[in-house]
Amino acid sequence: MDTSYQLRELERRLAEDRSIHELGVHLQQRGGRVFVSGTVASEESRSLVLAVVREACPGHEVVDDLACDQGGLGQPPESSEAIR
Amino acid sequence: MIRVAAVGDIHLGPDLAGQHRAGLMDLDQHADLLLLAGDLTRHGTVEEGFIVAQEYRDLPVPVVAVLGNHDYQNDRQCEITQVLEDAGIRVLEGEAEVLHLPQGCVGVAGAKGFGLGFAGRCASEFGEPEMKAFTRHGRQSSEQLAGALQVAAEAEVVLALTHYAPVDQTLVGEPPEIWPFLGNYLLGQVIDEAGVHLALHGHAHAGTEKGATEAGVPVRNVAQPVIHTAYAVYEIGDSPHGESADGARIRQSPTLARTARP
Repeated sequence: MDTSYQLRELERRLAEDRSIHELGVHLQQRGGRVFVSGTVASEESRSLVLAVVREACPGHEVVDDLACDQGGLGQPPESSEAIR
Repeated sequence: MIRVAAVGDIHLGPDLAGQHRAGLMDLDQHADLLLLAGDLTRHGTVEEGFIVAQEYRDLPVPVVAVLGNHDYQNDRQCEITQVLEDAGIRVLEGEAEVLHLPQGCVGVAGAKGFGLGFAGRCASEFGEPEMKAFTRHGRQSSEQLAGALQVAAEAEVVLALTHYAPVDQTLVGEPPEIWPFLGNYLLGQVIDEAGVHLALHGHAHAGTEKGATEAGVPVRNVAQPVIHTAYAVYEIGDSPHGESADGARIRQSPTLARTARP
């Protein structure tokens, strides 16, 4: 199995693992680095995802390009839209 | 005028408990009802269901929800529904809730929906049993929504609430290869046939907020990663006599859609 298949398997694990269930995480290897992108639900989930990727990719630098949904959760909208 | 607040895909777990509620306390200053478009939990556990219930109970406006695929992950969707209903949150699955608000009568038709894909490039009920089952569930989800819309049609303002997308316009941004798992054109078809003022869905985190059905019914993807706020608010300017208090906010295209109603 080459690295690409291993990363696809790892993406599937991040989606299906009972303690993670992050369906929107994408992994790409560029050179010796593994880029982790997509969106996760919380900062705690970001830490968990990165830890799993680091453990699964020894010898590679893991780059955190994740976005977190948590930011606007407590912010009411500043405006509304009139539906026409 | 009815002000509809909506959000989906909040994926609450213990680490996010209380964070959304902080943005909801003055909800009635912004909206007349709140709709939740599924994926309320992260793993679909009953424990997470209680967290969702705590977040949305005793709000100053009615709260109506559908569940999403995450809420089914542990096969505890019935218990999650009961936990939410016990907290005063109406959970719809092929049902309608007609709300008699001071601002007017609002009918919310709700169903989780399912994948299938979009016209010309969708699954067919052909071949292996698994493929037939996938397709059949997609079709049944649209039939559920159609039944709910019949009940909601008695209201002055009719809203369709799903987790899966009824159109592909609001999926733009998601990889096209996964669109058959994100939405279902039959949902859009029944929305057009029923006559709806506004359709709301979630599920497509990387999608686009605004779209419309073939007949011009506005569709909004309110997945929280798309709207970036605690909820989005949509004003439907429609008085019982067809005149808006604010003439600039009279809807246009939904009028056309509603003429299709029997």
